Amino acid sequence: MIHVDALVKNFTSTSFFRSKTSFSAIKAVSFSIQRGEKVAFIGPNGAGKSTTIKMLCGILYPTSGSIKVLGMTPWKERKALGYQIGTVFGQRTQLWYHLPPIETFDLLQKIYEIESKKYKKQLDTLIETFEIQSILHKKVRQLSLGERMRCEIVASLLHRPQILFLDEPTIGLDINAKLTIRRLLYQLSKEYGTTLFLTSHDTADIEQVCDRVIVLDQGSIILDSSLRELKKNYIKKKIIHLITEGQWVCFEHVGVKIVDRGEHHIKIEVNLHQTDIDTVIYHALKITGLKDITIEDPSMEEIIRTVYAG
Amino acid sequence: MLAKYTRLFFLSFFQTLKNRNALVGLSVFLITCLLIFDNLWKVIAIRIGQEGLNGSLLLWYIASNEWILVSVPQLHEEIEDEVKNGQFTYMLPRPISYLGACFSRGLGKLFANLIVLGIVTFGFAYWKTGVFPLHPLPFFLFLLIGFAVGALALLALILIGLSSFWIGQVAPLYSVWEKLYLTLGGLMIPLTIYPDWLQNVANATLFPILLGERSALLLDFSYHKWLCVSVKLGIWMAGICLLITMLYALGLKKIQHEGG
Repeated sequence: MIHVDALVKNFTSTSFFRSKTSFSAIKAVSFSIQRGEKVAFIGPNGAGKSTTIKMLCGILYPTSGSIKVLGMTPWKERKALGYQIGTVFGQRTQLWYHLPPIETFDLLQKIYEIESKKYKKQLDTLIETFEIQSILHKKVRQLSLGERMRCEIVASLLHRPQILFLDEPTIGLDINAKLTIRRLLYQLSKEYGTTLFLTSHDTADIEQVCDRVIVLDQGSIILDSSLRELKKNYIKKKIIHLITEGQWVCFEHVGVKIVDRGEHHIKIEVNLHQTDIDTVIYHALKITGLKDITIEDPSMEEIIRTVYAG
Repeated sequence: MLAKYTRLFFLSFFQTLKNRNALVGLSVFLITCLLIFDNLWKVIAIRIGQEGLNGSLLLWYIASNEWILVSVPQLHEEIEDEVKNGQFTYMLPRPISYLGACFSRGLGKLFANLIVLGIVTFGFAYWKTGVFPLHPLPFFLFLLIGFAVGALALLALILIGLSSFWIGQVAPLYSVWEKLYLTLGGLMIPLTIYPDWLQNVANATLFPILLGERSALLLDFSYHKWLCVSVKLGIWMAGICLLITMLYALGLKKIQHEGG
């Protein structure tokens, strides 16, 4: 569906006195994405995520290397590809600000040359899925950011794109709106088999929507793995909460660090390089008056930080 | 294929009509300008000893100039914003031409303005003078050319807007354009007052077509003159379209090298 091979993109900037400086935004990036995959494309600011998305959509052409999206070369067949892909850019809007979303949807029907019957059917389905019936005739400027984002995604799906590119779709949203968007994206991919290519700084987006992660840093891919593999390989520690009947319980073991301690609870961090979790639990169960035990993985954010740190 | 541009045109057209406050504001501004320029021209006419300019048709002439001047939407500002904030690049993956979309939405706004402000300005001129300068058919042809001239001005503004790829802020360039428009177009003072060399310079530009030469059809209409203005208009339109295409291609190239 998407095949990227040895992709390089250099930019040049010309100063007032015409001296040119060049820098590589993308350095020999290669990856392939299959139909229906949900891929998180992440990396710190300036890693080259947006540049890559722009090349995949045909906005920019590469300095060298090749890209095939749905069998097309994006920058050569940008318009033709436009009918097959959808784009959602969290900080941009494709809705007409002073008009209700339905007017933009009708305009997009013409832009994407969607047959009336198909359009009506698709619109009805999306209205129901994204629960936007009540805001369809409200002016866009009167919508909340979460409502607007739901409409943005609907606008991107009217022509039934095979691939949906999402650049920070949950940026600026409150927690409820974020949860809704993530649920809807997941549902969308599951029901229609739409391939998702998502960039985000919010690790919950990755965890709740995607099944594969590509990490980009300084223009190069530093990790490409499934979410499960990522967790397996990069979880270097676990957090264990112990609730006890006894007061001020102590726990000492190689590779274990006490993070927090109260009258009836203790929180420990287990370094999996130094010991294994089974041994620690075995010792923990020996504590007299142990009432409860909870084991936590570190947050996705922490895992990603570990990946960035190399 | 054209349906998308037509839809954009009508969307923009009806949105402009719905924005009544803006139209009222423009109408008030137009009438004010009309009165100011009417008095200015009367004074000039006396100073240069051409009292003939002081006729009732003068108000129609100025009304015709103001009609175009005020109706053309500030499309260059929208383009500048879209280029500067990067919105422009995000519009590229859609199966629609950016320039075509820009022109369609600008044209929708322009035509809505021209209709409403045409009624206001020519209604006002008729009310003030009590005369109607042309028979229905010539007047219809005159209006027709007015709409085409508006489109030419719009194209020129697209050209100015696209220059934001290089100069960032287009306001200074627009300011120069506006000054030339008013002076070489023959709105501030009649072109006939200018020395011969300056008249030649003015006639080599598109400004008289946009304003004075076109409006002069109201004073002295002939099908031959109408045709001459139409041909010049066509030539200028083709030339500016060519320039727009070239500038746009260069702008896209710049984005490829420097990022969007």
